[in-house]
Amino acid sequence: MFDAMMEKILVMNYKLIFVYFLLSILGILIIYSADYNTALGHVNKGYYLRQIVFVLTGITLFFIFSFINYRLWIHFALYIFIFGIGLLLFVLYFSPPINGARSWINVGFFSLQPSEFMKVAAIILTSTMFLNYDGRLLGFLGVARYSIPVLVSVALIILQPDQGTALVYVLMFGLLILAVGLRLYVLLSFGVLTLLSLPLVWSLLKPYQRERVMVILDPGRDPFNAGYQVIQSKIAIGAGGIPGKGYLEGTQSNLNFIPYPHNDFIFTIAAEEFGFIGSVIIILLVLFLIYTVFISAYNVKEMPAKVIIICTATLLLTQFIVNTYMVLGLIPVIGIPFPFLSYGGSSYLTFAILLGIVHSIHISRRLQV
Amino acid sequence: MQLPVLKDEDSDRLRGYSYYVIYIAVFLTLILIARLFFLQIYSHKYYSDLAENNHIRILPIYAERGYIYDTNGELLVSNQPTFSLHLPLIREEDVSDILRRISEHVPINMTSAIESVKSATYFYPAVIAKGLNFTQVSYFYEHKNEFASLIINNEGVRKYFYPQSMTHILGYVGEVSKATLSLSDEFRPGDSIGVNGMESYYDRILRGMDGAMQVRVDSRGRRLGILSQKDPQQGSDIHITIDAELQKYAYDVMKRRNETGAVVVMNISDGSLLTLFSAPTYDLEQFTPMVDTDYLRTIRAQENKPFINRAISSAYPPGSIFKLWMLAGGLNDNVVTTETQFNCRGVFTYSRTQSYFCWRRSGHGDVSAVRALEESCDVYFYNLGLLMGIDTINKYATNYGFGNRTGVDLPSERKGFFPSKTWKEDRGGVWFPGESIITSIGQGYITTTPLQIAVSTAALFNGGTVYTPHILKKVVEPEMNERYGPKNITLNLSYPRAARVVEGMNNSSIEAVREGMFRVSNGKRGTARGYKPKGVVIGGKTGTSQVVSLEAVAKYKKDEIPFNLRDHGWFVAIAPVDNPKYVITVFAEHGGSGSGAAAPVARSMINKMVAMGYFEADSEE
Repeated sequence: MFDAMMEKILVMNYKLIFVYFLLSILGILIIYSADYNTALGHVNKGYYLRQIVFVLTGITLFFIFSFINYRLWIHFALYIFIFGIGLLLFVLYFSPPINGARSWINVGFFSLQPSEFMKVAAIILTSTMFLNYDGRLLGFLGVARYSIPVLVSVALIILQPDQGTALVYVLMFGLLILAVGLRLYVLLSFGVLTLLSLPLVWSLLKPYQRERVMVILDPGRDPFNAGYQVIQSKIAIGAGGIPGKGYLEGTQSNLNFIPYPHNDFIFTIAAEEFGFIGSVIIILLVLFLIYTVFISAYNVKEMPAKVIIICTATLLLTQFIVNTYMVLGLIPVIGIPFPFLSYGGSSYLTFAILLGIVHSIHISRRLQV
Repeated sequence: MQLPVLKDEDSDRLRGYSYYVIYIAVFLTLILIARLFFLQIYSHKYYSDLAENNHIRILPIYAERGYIYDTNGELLVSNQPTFSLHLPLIREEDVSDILRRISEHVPINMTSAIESVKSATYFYPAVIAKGLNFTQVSYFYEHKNEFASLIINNEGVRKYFYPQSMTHILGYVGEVSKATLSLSDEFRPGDSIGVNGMESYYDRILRGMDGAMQVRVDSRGRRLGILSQKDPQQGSDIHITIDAELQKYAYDVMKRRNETGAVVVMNISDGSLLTLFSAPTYDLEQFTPMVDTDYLRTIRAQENKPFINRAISSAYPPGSIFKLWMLAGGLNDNVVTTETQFNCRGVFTYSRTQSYFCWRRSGHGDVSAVRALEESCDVYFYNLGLLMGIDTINKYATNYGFGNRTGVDLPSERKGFFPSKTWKEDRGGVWFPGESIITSIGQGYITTTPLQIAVSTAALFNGGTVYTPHILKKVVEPEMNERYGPKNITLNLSYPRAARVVEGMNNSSIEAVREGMFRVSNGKRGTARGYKPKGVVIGGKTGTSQVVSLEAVAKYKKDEIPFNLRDHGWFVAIAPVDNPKYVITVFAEHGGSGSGAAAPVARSMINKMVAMGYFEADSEE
């Protein structure tokens, strides 16, 4: 028993653990700064304390999932997925809307966001569908079949409504099938279809959503809401310069210019205080984490395991890109958290669990079990 | 536990494809870094200046709320300009100081103002006072430097032209509640929102969309210039079907007679409402420029509940007016014919222990359909109800709209209630024949609203269409600011709209009801023969519904019964009777009786309508 444990500990992926820990600690530090009031000399709400609890819980979950054989999840994939669907239905019917969306279950200490945890369930079920994958490139039928778990989740999340999170699911899946390999005609038709559907999507968007898109082209047109955040975010980042203003010295964010900076706009704080150099270092750290996850799929022979790894990597990539593009004013504000850095239990724990499963695949492969 | 494994060549192929994702990741990251380079290095000085030397504030530019007009285009509600004071989040010790100095010139609520400022942000100042006139704010304009961070803004508030007679229809405008704020990000603290009546129901249409401007201020909070501005989108005007003069007349009549209750005048052939009045009313003037909370508390505590719109928001037993649908249904189902007679000796004995009295204890003798309506003979309907059974009664009543919301375009409508056998059995009870008997004269479990009566009566005489009653005539949109697109309005604004059509009614049943109603008002023994209006021939039906059992009031002399125990009076009229255009429903809460309290009001209303020319086209025909 003890030996088996030692064996596992010896083959752990220390690069992965190192980057993961580093990002988590950085997250706590930046959240502390986001909440820090320069005038008062102390933090306002103490989000960082809660984030510490999330991080400790997340690290525990990461190791628990690392040491559980990942094949167990594949075995119970359908039940896990049904449970997730149950939670999503629960929020739709029983949760009071917060800011117009029914996305949270209040469990006292914190608000649970089922659409985050659903990512784990959807990824596992998708991977299970690849159990008897024959190695061929995907045609239309294949894509349609494999997309079922994601589409079901997306449908329920759109009803909340939380289009931003739904979009993350779709992009994650898109990158997955690209990595698995598409037949040329499928790839081309998706490309053409996307272009053709843009006007249709535009007509389906609610006026406020169109407004958010337009704000990107012309931030001045809505100085009240989305445009305001983007303008302030850009000012803060630009003011950071090359070296940054220094930790806890970011005036833009600390003076409450940016609403909820500890959440989706956490990268703004980092960029303002750590400057261009710090921002690039953070970007490289995240890229390194994604790369470490991604290449661990190469030597895995079981297709479901490969799929779980690729999905985790593409999910990290999607959220990282969407979030940073959003705070830099390149795409509309759609409320996607930065992986590991943004304040929030549901998002953090979801990524911790996924990394844990990826890590468990790594350990199994090294031990040849 | 083992899973199937991939062949080596497949695994290699996958490895090759997965590089695409890495290329994409690298490409997207390069864009990201380029953007960072642009913001943090290339444009650093520009953004640094913006951050260091200026502060940015966001001020709302309030959208003007839409006006409301009556059916003849007469202005009912418009706006008058006022000023509001805003304060951004400033150092805590400065807050109470500036608020104290402000309060020397205008009345402000210190505790709530301090609270609002604390929860405000630098960019979005809190509203600390609203509805001020120019004299009140002129001091602040003259002493700008002493009130550096104070911001004065313009806002229109409501101006009412019929503050008493239109109360329940219009509703008023108040400050958005904390509950609403937490539910929706559409509003900000201090925003206005419609409360009650049309102001609430059509809030989205009337409200428009606030604009905003982004202003640069210096370190002391003084305004340096406007960075960008989003123009407000003015609210749409609404024209309603209500005739303000007639509505005002209803108010005058009810007030003069000191009645509590409701008056409804509706167009039979499209469901448009000319009058929808509820008494008592309250004074809308007390809600502008700001809601007078003392007044609000007073009328909320008042025993006669002026807040309730009695025409739609409160349900009462209909009493004898329900006999109209009893007769129509009974004849239509061939339970009786117009010739069928029942003998009334003043009492109907169902069993040894169960006797039901006619309102006329001396009896009506042999009574057939038309006379039963004319004299409102209870015993006739006891017999009819027993023969029909509750299921048939329920079928006709619910078809005509009883027990369902009419769907009128006002908030807080009550459904009323119509009993059925299954309803009682589902609750573990048994439906007794005696309950069918009292249902036949509109007593027992059945409740309805004055508007429901109007709609159901209209459906009897317009060929069976149960219209959705409405007060909306048209929405006049201001010139749309194309840039922001049309507003997200989910209301169905197309009228007239039929909720349902009652099928299979034969003409002769309806004609018998019409003849009965004609004789109520014009027959020599009609229960409302004393209240014939001049200039138009009407048909009517009186109703007197018991509030408590007869035993409970037996100890009082007739005119000494306490107000709250007195019977409700109802009167429903169709005019002109041979080709009805309008239905008039009067409800007199605790009025004593239909003929005594409700019919006179209906007569006054119809006389007024004649004088206003509502029936002129008819006389030409």
